[in-house]
Amino acid sequence: MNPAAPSLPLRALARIMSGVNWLFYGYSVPFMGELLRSYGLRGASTRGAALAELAQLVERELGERDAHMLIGFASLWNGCMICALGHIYAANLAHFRDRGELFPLDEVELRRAMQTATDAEILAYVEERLTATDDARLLELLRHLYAIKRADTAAPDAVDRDTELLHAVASAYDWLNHCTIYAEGEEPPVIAYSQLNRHYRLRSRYARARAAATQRR
Amino acid sequence: MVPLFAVPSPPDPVRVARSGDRIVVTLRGLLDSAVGAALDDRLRAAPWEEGDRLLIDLREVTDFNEAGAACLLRTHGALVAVRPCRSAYLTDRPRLRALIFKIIHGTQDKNTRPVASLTAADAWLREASGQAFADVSLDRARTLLGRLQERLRDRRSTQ
Repeated sequence: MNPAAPSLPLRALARIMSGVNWLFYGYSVPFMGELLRSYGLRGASTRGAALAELAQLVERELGERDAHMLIGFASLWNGCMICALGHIYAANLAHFRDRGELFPLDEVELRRAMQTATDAEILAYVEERLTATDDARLLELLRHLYAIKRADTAAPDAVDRDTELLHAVASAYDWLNHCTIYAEGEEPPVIAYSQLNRHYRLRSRYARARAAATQRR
Repeated sequence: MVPLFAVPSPPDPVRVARSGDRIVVTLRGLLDSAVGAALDDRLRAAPWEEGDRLLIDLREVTDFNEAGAACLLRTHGALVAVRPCRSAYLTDRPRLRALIFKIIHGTQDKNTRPVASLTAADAWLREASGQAFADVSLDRARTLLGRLQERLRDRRSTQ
């Protein structure tokens, strides 16, 4: 099931927008054409700006790694590989840069899990990997997000900040994933959706460390 | 003559039932062209009534192939054209949820969404709004963003 190819002017516009995205955010997204096709230049820009504002706010409140991890999982439950793996990869790079060690959630393993496993199996994998670390807070947030995604109700008024943040992230990616999933192919590329995408040395060191860890297992 | 050892027939991969104002379709196994074609037949023959909602339960579907996905897209497209109704696809697999997102976006169907639980399916099917799931989600995210920014401003002003 392949999406219809966007027209030539749309493709050209998508390339320009991708370039702008790369300049400001450090990466280009492969679904720009689909966003433009769906909402037009103005609609895509205003919606994209709201999304970027939310992502920045989540990052300010929860920190770079956890913000990307939560955004990644909001997309993972929807089945969007581009966004899920891109944000989880960004979280992994941030963790590797800050602590000099690998975070136990491997984006390559998660890609396989997304193709074969159930929600419960993936959550069990996450719990098993994170229980052994000192990341109880992140695990709690991921469980909370999972519960929100399953029940999928509007955030009630006057709830705590974390609940509001998680509802906002879940809703934002429920919107975006309509376009991103439609645009992704069978094996979408893993692009770090953060400024860290430009840090080639960090990415290269991370890749070597991840490959060595995979070999040891 | 009754055979001594009756061979049990394999379970039906497509079941259709009515529950209140809902047509409930349950699929099982691999979603391939045969299951896709059976779904199309059953939906056409289902006892539809005015105002019916549709719940397609995919929790027993383990995977799909390209032909099955194409069948589901065709069937859903025909449904949107002939009998547009509020509907939900219930699945507990991200891979299947991605397929449903593709179908919704591909058919530009405003009445359908994927759900991860019966609770979420009930909430969506009860809803009277004609707003698409993508629009509902974006509106909700914007409202929450506004609330969070306000909370942040309050926090700063009290510091």
